[in-house]
Amino acid sequence: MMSGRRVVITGMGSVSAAGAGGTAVVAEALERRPCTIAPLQAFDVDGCTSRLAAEVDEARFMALLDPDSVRRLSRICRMTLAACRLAVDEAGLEGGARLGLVVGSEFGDFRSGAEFFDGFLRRGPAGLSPMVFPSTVMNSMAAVVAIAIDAKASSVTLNQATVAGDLAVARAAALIAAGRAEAVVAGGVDELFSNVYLSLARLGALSPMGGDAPEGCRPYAPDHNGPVLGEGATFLVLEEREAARARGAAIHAEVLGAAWGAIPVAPHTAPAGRRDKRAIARRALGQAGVEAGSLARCYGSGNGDPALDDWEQRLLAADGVRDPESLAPLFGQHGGLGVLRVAAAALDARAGRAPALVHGIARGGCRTALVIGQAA
Amino acid sequence: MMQKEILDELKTLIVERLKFDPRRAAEMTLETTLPKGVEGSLGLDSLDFIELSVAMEERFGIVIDEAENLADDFLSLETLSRFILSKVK
Repeated sequence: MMSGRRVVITGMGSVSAAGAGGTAVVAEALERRPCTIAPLQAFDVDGCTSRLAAEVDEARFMALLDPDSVRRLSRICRMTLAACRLAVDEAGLEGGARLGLVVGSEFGDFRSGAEFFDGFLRRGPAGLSPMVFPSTVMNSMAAVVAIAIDAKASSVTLNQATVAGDLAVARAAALIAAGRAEAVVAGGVDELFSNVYLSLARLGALSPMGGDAPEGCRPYAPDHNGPVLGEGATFLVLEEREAARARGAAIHAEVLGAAWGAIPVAPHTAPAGRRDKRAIARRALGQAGVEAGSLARCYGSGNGDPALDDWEQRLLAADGVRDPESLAPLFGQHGGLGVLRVAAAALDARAGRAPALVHGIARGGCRTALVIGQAA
Repeated sequence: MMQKEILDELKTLIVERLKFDPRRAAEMTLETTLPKGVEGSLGLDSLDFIELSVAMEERFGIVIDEAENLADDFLSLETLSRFILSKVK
């Protein structure tokens, strides 16, 4: 059990290439497994070796928002707001001084940053747009959502590669366990942006990583050759268990263990031989009182990046966890992916299955582990 | 430049820079009022007016003196288009 107060999941909201909605939409996507990775439509990738992505249809999340009230918000802020509202509405939660917010993102609002600085390059200081400026900072999504849902407790933005979403959930659980919030809306978000996509492709960081093998998202497979980017926002409502019970909330699952830490490596490397002295996965399993052998499943962060996939499998095997399953082929690699893995584990728990481990690791060495099980 | 051309350019700026729904722009006429608090107006606030001023300077090649009291000029699309006409002539 996590030390401190117990934490349960009472709502989810998601905007992804597989659809936009609450628990039912996430469950349907996991069940139906639609093919969401397809040739990019949003911008031109001519001459680029990478051409695939899991794109979100803007009309899907705009249908959930009032166009006039969100006209000043950037696209990524709109996605975040839509997902958070879905989660909060599903949980039937009200805002206030005890509601917190944790947002994880790998890239943040690069699009607004580029638009803002393009204005400067065109016209100097007079070209700097006051309307775009608020979106140029990494915490713009959290700022917008905190106001919209009246979250007045801690507001945290985490900027981390690969594991931003699951790390946000782990941090949110810790905030509640420590008594710093009664409930926290936690999740991850990213959007596809041409400059970022094309630069990563040129660096060989996306499938096919400059190789001759076909482009595609094949985590843990012998022919994995890099991640395929996706976009979207997925958020969960986490609550202190007794508070959730007292207000009659429908509880999906409990966060039985949550741990994170960093294995010291250079950010661009992922050495398969480097061990985790902080034993992040073992720590989370220990908190949960769950043996690795009794896990129903492990949702891993494998995204097709060969070095990272191999490193993750080796670390998990050292802790007795085998055959991790990746959801990257279903949603693409983005900040919300880790939260979708937590959501999948919560749905497993709700269906009566044994606890699941949600594991994540980034090339820079950041490692997360959450154990999700049925609420006692 | 004719007032009608300026009106069309202003509608484009309101969609592109102030992010209004294009369908809303199609309904705008010279009589459309702008400031928040005026009944039936677009509901623009101070941040919108700064953004619109920057966009107008860029589009029409004019300079707007921030020290001037321009409240009357920014009252409606009619007054605003006349203000621009006076600057571009």
